[in-house]
Amino acid sequence: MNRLQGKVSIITGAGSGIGRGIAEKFAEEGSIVVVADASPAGGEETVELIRAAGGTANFQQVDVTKAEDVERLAQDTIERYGEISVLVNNAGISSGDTLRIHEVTEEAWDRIMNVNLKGVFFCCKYVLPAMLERGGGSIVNIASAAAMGMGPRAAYAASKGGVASLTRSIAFQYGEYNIRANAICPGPVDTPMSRAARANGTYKQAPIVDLCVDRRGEPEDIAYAALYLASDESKYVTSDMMLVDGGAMRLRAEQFRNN
Amino acid sequence: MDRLTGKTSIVTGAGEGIGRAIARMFAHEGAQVVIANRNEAKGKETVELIKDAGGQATFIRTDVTDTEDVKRLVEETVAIYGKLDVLCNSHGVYGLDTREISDLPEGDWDLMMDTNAKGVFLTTKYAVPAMRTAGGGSIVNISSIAALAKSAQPAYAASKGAVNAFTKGVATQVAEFNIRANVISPSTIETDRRTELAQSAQYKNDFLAHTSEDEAAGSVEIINRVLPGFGEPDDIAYAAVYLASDESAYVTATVLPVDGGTTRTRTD
Repeated sequence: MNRLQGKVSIITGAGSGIGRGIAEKFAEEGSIVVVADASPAGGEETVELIRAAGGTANFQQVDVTKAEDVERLAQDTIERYGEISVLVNNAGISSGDTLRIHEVTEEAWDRIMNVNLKGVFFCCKYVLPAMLERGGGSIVNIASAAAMGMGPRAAYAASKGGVASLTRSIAFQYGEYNIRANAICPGPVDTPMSRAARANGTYKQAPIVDLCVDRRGEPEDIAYAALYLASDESKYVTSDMMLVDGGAMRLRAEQFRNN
Repeated sequence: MDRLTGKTSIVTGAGEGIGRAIARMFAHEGAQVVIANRNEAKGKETVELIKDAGGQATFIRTDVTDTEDVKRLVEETVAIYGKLDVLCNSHGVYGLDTREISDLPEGDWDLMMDTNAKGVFLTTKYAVPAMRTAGGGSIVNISSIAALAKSAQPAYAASKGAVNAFTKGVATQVAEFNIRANVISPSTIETDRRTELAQSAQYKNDFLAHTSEDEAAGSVEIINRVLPGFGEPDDIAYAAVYLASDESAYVTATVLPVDGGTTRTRTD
């Protein structure tokens, strides 16, 4: 399998869940993978999984809310591998969000915005010059179905709505330089993060879940969409909000006519 | 390449352009492909191209507006390959809209609705029972940016809008049978037919009189596209492989624009 042969991909939040699923799939398809995560334990484990399967990967400890961390991530990747062809902004949190926005603390709001939205800004800011130099690239942002409809968790939904808008603007700004930017909007996916949210009640009571497909998504479902968007197979695709949500959003389809 | 190995696929309008590219890509990925086309010579040409490349394909002459033809298409597909897993509707008529809706003959409206919208209904109607028997399937409908953006071709846009709405509705009905249905929404794709059309006397007369040459060259939707150049048939084919394959098992009732970024800049 070689759909990403010769590409160098940075994947944030690749130490668990969806990010790990994407990292493993990309490596399987021939990409060199930089596993960026705040947690060394999870990140190193992802690297081990990739290497055990015959892939190429290395770990970079990165807090995406710190500009110097992200700048170093981009610099180290260039030094080590010569270029950055793909950036997957997957790092995200939802802890501290509740089903009542008036109960959300300012600290929780700031933390969610910093990781989910400002982190994407930093990663794009420091990776785009490398993509301009290279003559093109693909940015894949993991937003959320919550960005496209009625997200039950408001702070999380707001941060992901910001990611969707940021994605469209980057697509607009950098299209002429052959840099594409798209977002994947996952619905319910079974990950450590979503399991934690369900366990503490911030997810279980959500009013909307109305799937067509009779199961929760798996990280691999998102990984295949990311693979399509990262590869040259999607060279005419930019600014898309790609729903991978088991059909959950269908009843509100008219709210977002592009999808 | 084996992303569609073992899948029996019907591709309508596979005698040229986008449909032919999809059929070839499906075969390249291991599918058995039924080329459903009204024009026999072109359809058989696609079969030859696939066979020359080592793939499996069969031509079944089909007018998608004819119930009997469509019924026979599905029956023969199942008779030949034993089942049906994928239906890709990529047939369509385009370019009949006149500049003024008041000048559009009723017959041209009917032709677009019969082919673009009713044709999708008929193929779906007969494909779904076969997919249920197969234990599931994927329906991929090729629509148009005209259904999402503001198009100066309102009748065509209406026919494709019907495809988008129909697809989402069908997706909700057939999900319980493990059948998915999604739309690909292309903008201007460089095909032989588009080039011919852009050079035709009628098209020039209807569009160039009111539009700059640059705009008319790609119809009106070119204006705000953010990626340079036109799309190619293979751009649509790759998206179709993704949606036809099990890689998109968690994706249904969606619209996937493959349009160089045109749609969103227009709707902003």
